[in-house]
Amino acid sequence: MSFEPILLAPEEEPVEVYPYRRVWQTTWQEVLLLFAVVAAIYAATLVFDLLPDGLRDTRGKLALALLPLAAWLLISYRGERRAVAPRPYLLSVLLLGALVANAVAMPLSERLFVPDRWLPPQGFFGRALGYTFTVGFAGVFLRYAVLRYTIWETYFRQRLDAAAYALAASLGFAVILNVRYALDTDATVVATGLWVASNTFVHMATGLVIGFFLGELRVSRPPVIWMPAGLLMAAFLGGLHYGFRGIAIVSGLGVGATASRPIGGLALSFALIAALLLIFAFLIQSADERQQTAAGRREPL
Amino acid sequence: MNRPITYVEERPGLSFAQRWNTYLSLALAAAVLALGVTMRDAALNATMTLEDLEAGIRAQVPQGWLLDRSGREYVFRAADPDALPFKTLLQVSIMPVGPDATPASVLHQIEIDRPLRFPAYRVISRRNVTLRDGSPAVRLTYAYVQSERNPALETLPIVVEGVDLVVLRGAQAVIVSYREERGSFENNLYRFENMLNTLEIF
Repeated sequence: MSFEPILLAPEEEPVEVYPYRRVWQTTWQEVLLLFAVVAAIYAATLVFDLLPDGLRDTRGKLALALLPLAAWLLISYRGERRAVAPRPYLLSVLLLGALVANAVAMPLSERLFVPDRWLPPQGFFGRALGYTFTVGFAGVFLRYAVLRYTIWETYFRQRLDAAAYALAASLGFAVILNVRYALDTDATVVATGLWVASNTFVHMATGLVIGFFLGELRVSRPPVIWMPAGLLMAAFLGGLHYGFRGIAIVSGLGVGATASRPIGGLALSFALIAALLLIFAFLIQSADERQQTAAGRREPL
Repeated sequence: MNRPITYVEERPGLSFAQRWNTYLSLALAAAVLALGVTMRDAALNATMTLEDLEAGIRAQVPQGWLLDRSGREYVFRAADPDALPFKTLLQVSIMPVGPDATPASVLHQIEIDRPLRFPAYRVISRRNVTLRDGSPAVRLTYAYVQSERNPALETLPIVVEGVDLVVLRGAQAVIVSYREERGSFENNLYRFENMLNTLEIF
């Protein structure tokens, strides 16, 4: 006579291993690291007087310009290598983003759009729209082209792939602008840090928009104006940031010579990337859940 | 009988929506960038009317430039406040002349003290031109070196290139001038041409 043994402990359910790198977690780490480093330099220079105001060390400026890239390599790229199913062309996409920034976006900005010559005197809406339709849209479209005409068709397996690749392309794009700013201008180390952080955050934020729209275009059936609307939205977001940044920096009250508030620009850019990371994490998660429910792989709540 | 083997690579094609999203994105890029360039042109070439009823001069000068109407040597002077290292200058002057004066003789008179006022002054070209209304004029192109007066600033001297155009109107000569740093001279020459084309003497 035989009988089934009675288990006192409940049977363990097999834990599903998540095969991909968790994009939001690593991106938050990079953003917080860059924000913390730049805020520390700002505090050490302008609050505690530990560093001289006029410090213009080129190596320090270059290090700050390359900090986002180093953080991405150490956090996101290393995390990707350790994942069960790594995304294969992240580094290539980052390099392509850097290439189009240097070969196309910079010449366009310096020789055709020349935003420094006509945007600063404009009012808020003039600045926002002027930036949107020139430098902003050019940057957005170039990153879209890098993704759309290389890996989009084959390697966008899920929505989070789009976010990961778009963030990589945007980071490569932003790092080139950072390096050019560090080497070509006479800005101080603290000003370079603030600019680098703002520039990186806004490119990551607009990159998230591009990635979300490209991801939806790959995995679902959006209307025919989906991608144009996404490109316009990303460019307009960059334009709004450009318009508000001027207000955030110069609207401070103070007894100094210029009454400016340089930390305002950093705070604005950080708020932008933080808000977009939260929004798109929610949108992508809910879209994935809806898709799984529709496919019958998940019970509706 | 052997039949040739044909191989056709099959790739999953794009859907209708994906294809049209791609086309419309490209069309949007062309439209937006054209709009952007138009906005840039409108902002960079925006002008305002400058009028001096006493001197009888009306002209279009770039918007946002600093205007100076207080000088004795000129009717007005407009300078670009954002230009570096030299503030791009447009100027209109009037000089009373005798009945036998010609544009060339007026120009000669202007040039007399130039080498004293402008270091390393050199004439590059001098040519007779005809304005749109048929009036004869003389156009002089020159260059000189401008140095910062404050030695504490430790700046390098810059080469300035200039144009003077002299035309006679009744008993007075009108001198339209443009000065710019050598490297930006050609790029901004259109501002001088624009002002010249809109200049009215009444």
